[in-house]
Amino acid sequence: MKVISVGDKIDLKLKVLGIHSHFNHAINIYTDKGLVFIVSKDVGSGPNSIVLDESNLNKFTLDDISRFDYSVYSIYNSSFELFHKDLEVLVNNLKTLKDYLFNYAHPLSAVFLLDSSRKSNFVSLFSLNLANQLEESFNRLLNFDLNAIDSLKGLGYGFTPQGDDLIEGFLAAIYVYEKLFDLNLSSLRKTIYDRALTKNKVTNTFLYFTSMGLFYERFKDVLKALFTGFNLEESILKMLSFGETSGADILTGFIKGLEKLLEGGNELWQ
Amino acid sequence: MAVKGILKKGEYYDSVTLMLVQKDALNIPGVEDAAVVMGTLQNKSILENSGMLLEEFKNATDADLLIAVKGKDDEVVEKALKEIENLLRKSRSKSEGSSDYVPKSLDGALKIMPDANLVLISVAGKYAGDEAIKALSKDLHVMIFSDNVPIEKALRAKQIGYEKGLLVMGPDCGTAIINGAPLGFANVVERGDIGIVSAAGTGLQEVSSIISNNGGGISQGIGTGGIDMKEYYGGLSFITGLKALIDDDETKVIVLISKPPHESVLKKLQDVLKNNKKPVVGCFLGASKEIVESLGAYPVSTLEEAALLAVSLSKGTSFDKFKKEIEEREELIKNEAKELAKHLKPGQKYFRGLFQGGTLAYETELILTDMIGDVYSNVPLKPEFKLKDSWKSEKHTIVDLGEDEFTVGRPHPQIDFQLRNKRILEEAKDPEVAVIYLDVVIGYGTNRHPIEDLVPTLEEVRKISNALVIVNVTGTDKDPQNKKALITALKNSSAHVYERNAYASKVAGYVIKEIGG
Repeated sequence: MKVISVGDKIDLKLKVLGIHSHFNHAINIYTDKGLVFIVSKDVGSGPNSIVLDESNLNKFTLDDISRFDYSVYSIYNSSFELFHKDLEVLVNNLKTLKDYLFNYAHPLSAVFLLDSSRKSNFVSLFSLNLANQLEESFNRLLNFDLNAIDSLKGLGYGFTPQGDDLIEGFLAAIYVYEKLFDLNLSSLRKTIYDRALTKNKVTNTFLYFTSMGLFYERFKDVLKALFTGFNLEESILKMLSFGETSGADILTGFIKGLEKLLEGGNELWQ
Repeated sequence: MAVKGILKKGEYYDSVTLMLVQKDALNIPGVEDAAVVMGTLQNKSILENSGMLLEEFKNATDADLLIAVKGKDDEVVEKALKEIENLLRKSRSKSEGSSDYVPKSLDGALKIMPDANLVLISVAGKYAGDEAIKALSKDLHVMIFSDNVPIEKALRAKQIGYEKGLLVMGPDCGTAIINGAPLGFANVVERGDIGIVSAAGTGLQEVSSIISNNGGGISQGIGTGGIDMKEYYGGLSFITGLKALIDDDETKVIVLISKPPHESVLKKLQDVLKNNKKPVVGCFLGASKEIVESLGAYPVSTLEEAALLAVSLSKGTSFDKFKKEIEEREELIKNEAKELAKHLKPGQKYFRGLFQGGTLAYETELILTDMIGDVYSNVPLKPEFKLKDSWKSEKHTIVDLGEDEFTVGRPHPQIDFQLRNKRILEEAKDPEVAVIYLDVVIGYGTNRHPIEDLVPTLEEVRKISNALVIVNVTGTDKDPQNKKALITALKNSSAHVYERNAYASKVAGYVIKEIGG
């Protein structure tokens, strides 16, 4: 199996301990250095991802790791630097991003936080309670009430719950805001990450890297496009194809977070 | 009330699977609430607030799957839990089983099915045009389900198709029946010798269903998407489809369905039909009889007439006999309406039509405007009758809920009834409303549980209003939703049910006339 790219935070001397979870396009591996994601090429790179030149990993076994062909591969740079700081461009592109979410995001994703009419998609008492809790907790987090993280983390359906995705988007928003205004809020990001930790190792991994300002390729492409306009629509659609609703949920957290920060400024966390 | 659940250690699913399974569970009769979630602390707290946190769930971890059901008794709940487990199992085997057969590209798909000659494209509109052109370059017919395809790409695809004699159905083509296979939103119809080319999706569904329900059958149902008949596209796909039906040995009668085509398109159709020997039924909704006759086609004014005439022609009955039958029927409709109108109270005078299907809405609008005068709509016949706010009715109103303003961020109303149900109840609360008119289009691709998703709302209507609820069901007995059971359930909820939109619209129109609305 040919390796195309290796994340910049992977130490290839790692020791494989076992498989955490197995999907058609991604195998999450326990190693002595934390989780490593082995993914097919359509998933894209990440700080802890090894991308294979394969379109399906359904038949992958741990034995295959010893047969990886590392002859030609690139190192994926997961850091994100801001070269264009045009706020007007950003605000316009955020509008496009929202339009795409309204048009293409799954009806049951967290996009209802941006468009309340979507809440009518949640019909049962349980799903309405869940949507209300997501809304209430995330709105508190937007106002930097960090206690809200306790009720937000782990909240929602599926492998990566919506609550965790929203926190991830919010962390990304803080990082981008820092870059925009030359601030350093790394201790705030660390506090949020520490508080958001759960027993879900996969979301812990996503949150860790985002809190460090390190991004998976599909999210990084959207962030880059928001400031340049280059490949904006394509990158958004690719992000939306991520993890059923995760892509939309992360972007919702990001938009709400960034809008709040741009509106409220440093008074929010001080 | 009973609450039971299952804890599955170490099982994980993606969020959409869990949400859809939960939604299906809610459709099981007797189930009041259901939750299928991972056992995180926070999810457990929501379960507790919803009265579904079971003792055995309290020690569940983030890696455990929790299934909880609240229902009217133990039997219902246990049945629902079994059903949920089945659905989860199916979703897993579906994703695992299909993993080898989900190609990521057209080339990949052709490796699996080298003999395929038609490609259905349903990707973001921006990319659909290029995919279509790629498929056409490989001499494949194309159906483009996507909308918002860049116009120059869509035109190029249509031109290539036209030059090569390949079908380019779409963009925004929701319905087709090719060699008996329903594609997109389509019904399970009998096969036969009637070929249809349609620039109207629900128009094709309505006509093919009525044909099938009345002893006829379909050879091919070729959709083109409504935009095809505009000047810019020149009816290229419509003409290619028509030529294919003229050349098709299995097709004996041809039906054309569209809004009135642009003059330039009409000219091209005249050229194509000049030497055609097969009988053609022209259903250009809203067009004059002369326009249709200029094509050498039999003119009809409704989808129902198009279908019934096609069946008559297929069986060798004359056009005149058919016309006489249609005219005689008018008296029956009037009498039916007179009886219905007796149930209404003074002050009830308005018609409110809430449609899933754009063509059906348009047809009803034409019929009612003719019978009772102008009708307000989000897609009005005259601009001055455009609703100021599509979410609020005025006087006589027809709303096409399939328009973009209602579908952004939610499934098409043929799939998801929630938005219309809400609007039905709003209309029912208006004491001036006399008729609430609904279409229910069944078949593949549409809502699989129309009884569960619509009937409870109609029962609510019955409690708060004595407005007449008239429902037109488009579909066949072979459709997956069980049409007979649907019609019975609708009738039990006091709805007046018909299986032809034009007939039902006329009943409604005569009711309004009768009460002087």
